[in-house]
Amino acid sequence: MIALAPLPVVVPFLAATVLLLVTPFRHRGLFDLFSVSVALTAAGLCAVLALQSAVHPIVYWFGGWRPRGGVALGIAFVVDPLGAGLATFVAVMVAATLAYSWKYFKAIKALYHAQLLLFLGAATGFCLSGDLFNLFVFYELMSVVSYSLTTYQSDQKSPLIGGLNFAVTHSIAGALLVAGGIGTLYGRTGALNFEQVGRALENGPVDQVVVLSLTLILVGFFAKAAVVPFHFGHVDAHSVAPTPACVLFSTVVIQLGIYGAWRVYTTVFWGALAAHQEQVQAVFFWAGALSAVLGGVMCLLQRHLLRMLAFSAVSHVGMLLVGTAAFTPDALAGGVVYIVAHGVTTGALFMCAGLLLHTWSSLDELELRGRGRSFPWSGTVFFVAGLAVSGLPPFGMFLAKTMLESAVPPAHQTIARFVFLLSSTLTGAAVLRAAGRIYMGWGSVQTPEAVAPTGEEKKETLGRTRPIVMQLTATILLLLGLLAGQSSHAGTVAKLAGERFLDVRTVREAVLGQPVNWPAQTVSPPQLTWSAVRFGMSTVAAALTLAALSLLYRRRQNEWYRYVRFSWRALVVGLNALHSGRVSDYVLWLMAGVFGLAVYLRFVLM
Amino acid sequence: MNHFPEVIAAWLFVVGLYGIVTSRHLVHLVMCLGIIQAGTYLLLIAGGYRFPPAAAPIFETAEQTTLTSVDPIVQALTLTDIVVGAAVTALLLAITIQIHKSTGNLDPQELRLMHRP
Repeated sequence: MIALAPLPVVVPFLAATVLLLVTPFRHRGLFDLFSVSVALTAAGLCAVLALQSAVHPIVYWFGGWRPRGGVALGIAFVVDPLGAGLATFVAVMVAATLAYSWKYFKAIKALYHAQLLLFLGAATGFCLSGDLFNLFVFYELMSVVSYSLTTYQSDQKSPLIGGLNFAVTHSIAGALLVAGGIGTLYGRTGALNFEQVGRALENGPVDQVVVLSLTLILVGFFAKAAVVPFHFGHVDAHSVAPTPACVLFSTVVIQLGIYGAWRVYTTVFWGALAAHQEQVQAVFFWAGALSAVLGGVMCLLQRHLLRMLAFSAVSHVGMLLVGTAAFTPDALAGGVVYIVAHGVTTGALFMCAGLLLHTWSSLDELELRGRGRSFPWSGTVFFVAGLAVSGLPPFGMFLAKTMLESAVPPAHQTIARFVFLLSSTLTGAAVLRAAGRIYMGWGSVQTPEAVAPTGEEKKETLGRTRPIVMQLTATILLLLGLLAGQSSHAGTVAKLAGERFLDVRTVREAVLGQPVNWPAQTVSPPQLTWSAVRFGMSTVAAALTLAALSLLYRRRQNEWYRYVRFSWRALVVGLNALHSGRVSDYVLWLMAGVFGLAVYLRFVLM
Repeated sequence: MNHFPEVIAAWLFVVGLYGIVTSRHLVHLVMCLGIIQAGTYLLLIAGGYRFPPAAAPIFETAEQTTLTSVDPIVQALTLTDIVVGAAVTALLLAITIQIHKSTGNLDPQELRLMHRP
């Protein structure tokens, strides 16, 4: 049954090729049906792999090139429950996106479906890959498809510029940083297989080569994961791409960047930096804290729905980093639940926003005020998803946040709690404010957010229809978010996956030596205490209050109000000016990040 | 150990990045990205170089496989990387053409993504 491992990659790639061959046929519904079923098949295959890998790590050597004497020349897929679980999640998200696109696009060709399937194959390959170079190639393939999806509506100006910014910053992160880091590691160790590189680094000194490669790979993956200050290109692309593509960018692309950083750090650098783990993990922690706070503030300052949701994703990736910085099995378990729960919940939000765009040709919160009154179904989904984002029990995001929080080491508890509270409140409040304004018509149009940048959508009336399939996919995703919050199941499975992911010794034996089973282990389901529920409820209350405050905002001739308005406006203008939309600024930020991290690591590691 | 190729790779990185940051034309920007990618190829190839200078890994008889040669794996990696780079460059040039069609402007400093009220 090990031969199953390459199938989740092969099947979508083959299906994409078939779709390209039959492009001349014009049976739109057939393409949709075919591609959704392929994505679901891939999801099934990944799920089977995840179940099998719960017994023993699955190692598949392409062409039967097994390692000899501990030297791996071949290319391997190494499947562990965490990676296969993430691949399943990606496949489900792609299937939902494809189902949603059925009515979203009026006229698309099979090329679109083929691209999404290519994306799926690359993403699953990325999750299962067992060596550095294939990790890089699969991620680049996924990125190239993302650029092309961003610019899919190539007759409009904004998607083109957004796609360009995204492609340039992302390619620099890939071609220069990640590939450079991999080249440096290969020059040092002569290996590409994770385990073999890890073993070689363990036996060598921690010198400039290690520092350089760690810096390049970390900044590269952070830049791909939209971590502040490398999030600019992402946010630009997320706010102009077609909504179905945005769903995948904000819920899959950036989270897989984090997964890449985890995977490389835990397999390659773990042993070599055993003495310095705290200093390296501080990088994860503080980068995460910065993203969570800045992303949250920026989220609240937006008036363009997709841009707001993009910043919300930045903020949530920050929380994910803060919570998993300790790299304990429990932390990673919380991280996986977080990725899945955030993915489905945010996916539902994007889909509701896309429905508004579909009907009103606008994504501007102020322009759309009250126009959502005739959307009771998707309005409810949007509102409930907003509550879930701010951490309402028993949704998956609540469980994930609780698991992440309890995994933070005591020394950082206070800061982490503060960051979690701030980020959940700000992102939740932004979504709830938009819900109140759009679906209920509350609030004034003359608010400080009015000076934030906004998009010019194509003025094309797509009809006042509200396709059931679009609302249904959003609802199903939200329900999946509820399902992910069932602590006894989701939490236990994730905790086991976290244990396996960090069981470096067993994986190394399975890859370089003989097939082995995981050591027997029992995990207890995560404990949901009353204090956690109270904390969850209090963030929800804070988010609701903040949303209500910003909806109640009125212009008043009052001394105190004037100060508030002035400082709020200054914040909006200043922070938005920082997001200049110029690719040169973004590249400078990237370089500053590399330089800063290199200097820091040089001093703490050597 | 001779670090000449690595120094050249670093130089290509710096030149390419400088070009991207100061670029006033999108085609120029895409070419600068190509220069950065060329730096990566050089870095990879340099990782497989052997001193004293060794032959290319082309063997005709079984005895020759014992000779010292440069590392063929990095050459395969470089080829793959070139393919990735070519795909990105092609896509970026296509985007550039479309941007020119829809705005008539190719200066990255002047292209504005969103409308600021």
